[in-house]
Amino acid sequence: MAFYMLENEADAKDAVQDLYLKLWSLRDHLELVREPAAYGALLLRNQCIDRIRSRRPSAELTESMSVKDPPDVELATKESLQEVTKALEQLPPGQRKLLTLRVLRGMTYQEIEQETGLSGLNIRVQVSLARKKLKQLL
Amino acid sequence: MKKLYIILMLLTLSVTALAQSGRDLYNKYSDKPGVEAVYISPAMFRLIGRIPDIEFKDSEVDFSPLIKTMTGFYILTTLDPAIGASLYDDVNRYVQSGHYELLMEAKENGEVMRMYTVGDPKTVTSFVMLAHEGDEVSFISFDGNMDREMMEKLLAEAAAEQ
Amino acid sequence: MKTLQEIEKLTAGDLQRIGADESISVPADLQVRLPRQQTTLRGWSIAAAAAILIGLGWWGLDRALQPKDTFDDPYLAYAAVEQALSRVSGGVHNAAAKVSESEAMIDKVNYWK
Repeated sequence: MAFYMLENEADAKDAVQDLYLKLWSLRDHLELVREPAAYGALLLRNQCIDRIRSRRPSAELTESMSVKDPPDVELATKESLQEVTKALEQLPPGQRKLLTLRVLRGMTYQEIEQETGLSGLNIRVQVSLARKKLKQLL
Repeated sequence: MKKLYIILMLLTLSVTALAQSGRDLYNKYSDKPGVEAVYISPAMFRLIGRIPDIEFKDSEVDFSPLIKTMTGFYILTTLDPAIGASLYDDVNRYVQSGHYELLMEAKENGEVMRMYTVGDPKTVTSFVMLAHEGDEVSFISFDGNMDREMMEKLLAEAAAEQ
Repeated sequence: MKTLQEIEKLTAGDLQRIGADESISVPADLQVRLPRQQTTLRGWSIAAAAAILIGLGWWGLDRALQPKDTFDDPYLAYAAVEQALSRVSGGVHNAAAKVSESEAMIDKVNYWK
């Protein structure tokens, strides 16, 4: 689904990863969601929209998307949460924090730089390393 | 005639005042025995800029947009302990006298590596990396009109790939 | 006696002409100064020429200080830069890996939230 919307493998992988992280952060509220598959799909769609927007502000948004493989998403959502939790705990705490700031709070690198006093280069590497580790673990 | 002497003196002074530059560091060490030296001039960078589609990719990351904004490039490496020590000191003095900011550093088991940049939040005009690892002292530097964000992004991507 | 006005009207050129004109009689003890006056104009021209040569020399010196390009081929030069950047990235990787475990970084990040 992500690949369909973003048309780029690396971005798609990152978007899915971000989706897992978002779901993990909302884990306490997920029991209330009546249709997890659709919910997951919508979250993914929004993630992709944000990504496309930050990539090219004037690009047209892909409105049509097929809700294919709902069983997959549902399964993925429930099982992966545990995996995500485990994986996140394996990250060095500093990296985990920076990844959170970047993905969940949607901060720009400049903002993170200002808030933490770390160099932009360092922050970017930590986030890239964190993403890479998560990919390996998940 | 006195005026002539004054003019000569002023010129000599101004030339030695230029002694604080990557170029002078390079000139000082490039001919010494046991020193590996690489220099790429602004003219060569202009030629590089004209290469239409650079395909060589040592890593997964495409550095060509960054390289095309460079104007100078220096490498000085040596295993000679005496020359190495002198080079290390000279580079440290050089980065302290300019407006270099420390970008990153790593210290472990007596090995040191530091990276510096000069510029402003948007642009990097000079980058220096100084490393002292075991017997080897190395100095890598490039100048130019480089977009800071692009430089950070490319280096971070390549760093994560390693 | 010449008036002040007449003297003021005399230009440097006039004065030099007068100085060179040997038909005007001059008291003997003043004769010594004549050579000095002529040298002034020549002295200035020499100084000017010297300044230009020195200026060119400085520019020439700057050019002479230019190091020699290591590569003749831009493709090779490009490859060398790319290789160096790879090495720099390696350094960034090691530094970042070390920093991620460090107390300092954790403190800085935790300070925010």
